[in-house]
Amino acid sequence: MPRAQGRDVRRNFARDAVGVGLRPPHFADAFEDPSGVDFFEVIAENYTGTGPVPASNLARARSLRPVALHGVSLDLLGSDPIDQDHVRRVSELAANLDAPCFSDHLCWTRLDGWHSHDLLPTPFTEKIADHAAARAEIVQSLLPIPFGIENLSSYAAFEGSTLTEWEFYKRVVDLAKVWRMLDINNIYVSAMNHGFDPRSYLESIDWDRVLYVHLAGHHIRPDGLRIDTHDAPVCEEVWDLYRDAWTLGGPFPTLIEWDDNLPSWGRLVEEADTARLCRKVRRTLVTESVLESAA
Amino acid sequence: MTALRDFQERWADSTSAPLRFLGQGRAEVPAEDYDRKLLASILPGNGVDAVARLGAYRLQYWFRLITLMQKDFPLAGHLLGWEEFNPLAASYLKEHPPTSDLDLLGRDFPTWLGKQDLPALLVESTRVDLAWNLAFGAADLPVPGPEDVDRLAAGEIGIVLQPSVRILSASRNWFPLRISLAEGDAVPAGPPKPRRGTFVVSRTGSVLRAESVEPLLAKVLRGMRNRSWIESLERIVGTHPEAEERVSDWFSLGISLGWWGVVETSHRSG
Repeated sequence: MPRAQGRDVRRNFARDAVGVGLRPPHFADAFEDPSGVDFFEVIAENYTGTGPVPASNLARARSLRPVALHGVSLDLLGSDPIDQDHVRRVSELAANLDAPCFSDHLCWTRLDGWHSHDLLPTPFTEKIADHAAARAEIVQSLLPIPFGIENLSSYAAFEGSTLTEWEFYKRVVDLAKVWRMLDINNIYVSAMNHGFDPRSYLESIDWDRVLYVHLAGHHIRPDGLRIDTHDAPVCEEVWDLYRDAWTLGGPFPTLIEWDDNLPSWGRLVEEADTARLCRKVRRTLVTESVLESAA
Repeated sequence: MTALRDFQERWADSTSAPLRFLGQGRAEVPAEDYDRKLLASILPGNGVDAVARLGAYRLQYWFRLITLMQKDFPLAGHLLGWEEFNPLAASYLKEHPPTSDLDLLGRDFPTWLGKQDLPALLVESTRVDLAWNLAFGAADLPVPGPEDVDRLAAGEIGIVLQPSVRILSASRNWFPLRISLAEGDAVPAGPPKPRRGTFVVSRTGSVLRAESVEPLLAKVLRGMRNRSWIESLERIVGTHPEAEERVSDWFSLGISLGWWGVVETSHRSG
């Protein structure tokens, strides 16, 4: 079981909670009317850097809903040392907010002082998975809260890979004894870009290790390559995959990410409502089919 | 993990290779810039070849950085137009690759531009943009209030400039134009009319302001870069006795514009 098993990772929000990524342009509207949203998630780097820490905004958010932390610069697949000072700053922020968990991506982001500010892939091999797991263990050892690793969306796959993406992901999470932050949109984007069945991916998931799932919109280029842009509503295919995930592993908390081309706060809350509706539709269909077969 | 580092070096070199700007908002992603070994290791599929797949990362890298430079330097973009601004920003970024903090991406842009044999007005516009950006991103000190009067009189605390306060001399007041550009308003082409002055940029909460100040006050504020309000005033009054009668007005102006912060005198005397 994950290292942080002594803590209840579901504390602060219900197992079927639906949250949204809270971005500064939404602060005023979200604080005025947070109904329809069960928890917030914020980008940790926005509040741990050298710039102003809008602590009053985060404190206000925390007074209304639980606030989970999500990162974009941990560099788990990197070859530079883990930035332990960064993890300690995240740890302090988590303590201040009583955050239920922290997550970051299974990717690399920097090399020798150069920062890509992107989430970059590597080949999927046992050796690289073991390297990432050792780094994830360091991260978890510095955090007082559960650490979840998010699966990446990618546009390139490599000849040197010896594992499928889901085997690679599972190996890292299992060896490091940490948690999963499962991004359903990322599974779909990678599946379409590399030609695998996203349902095979879902079937590999140990759902009791999922902190919560992410949903987001993506962009399709003219050549068909899908790019994880977080600038649009969740597409129908991803809602379908979410329904499958719920059937396989639900209930689990769900979070809507929307980072670019931001909609109104009301539209974002509608997206959260759609997630709730999805599960009901699935349940209704299942109920109907059971009744039909009984008749 | 030598193999991993080797892979990542090839990747970083390939995806940070500059785009070729073609004009009319178009850019080419030249495949000859890619590391051959890296390219050969990327699997084609679903009708998308390795060049296009690596190119997706390269486009994202440059799109993200140039978009940030456009956002941080709207005055320069206004003067040049984006067609000219984008290749210039890309040349700067090639020499100043991003570090961990994207807020610092354009910090050296005015200095770099100043070495490029470009019009002084363009360089000045980027100094104004940078002052605005730095004011927005600066930390906040506690603001002085009525409860501080006794401690101030006892010398336990001092009044200093908020880190957000930026003082700069310019050939014209760029700030109304900058605010209009940030708000997406229609603005006339070209720079504002000349009107030399000293301007103070400051921030209260998330609201930025720029105020034109008289020369004597500018001297006091410049003196506060490494001194307290009292220390700086004492030096100015020593050489400009007429400043004494302005002190109360200046202090009130600073209160209303959020210039002042409070520090313990263990940090700074006065």
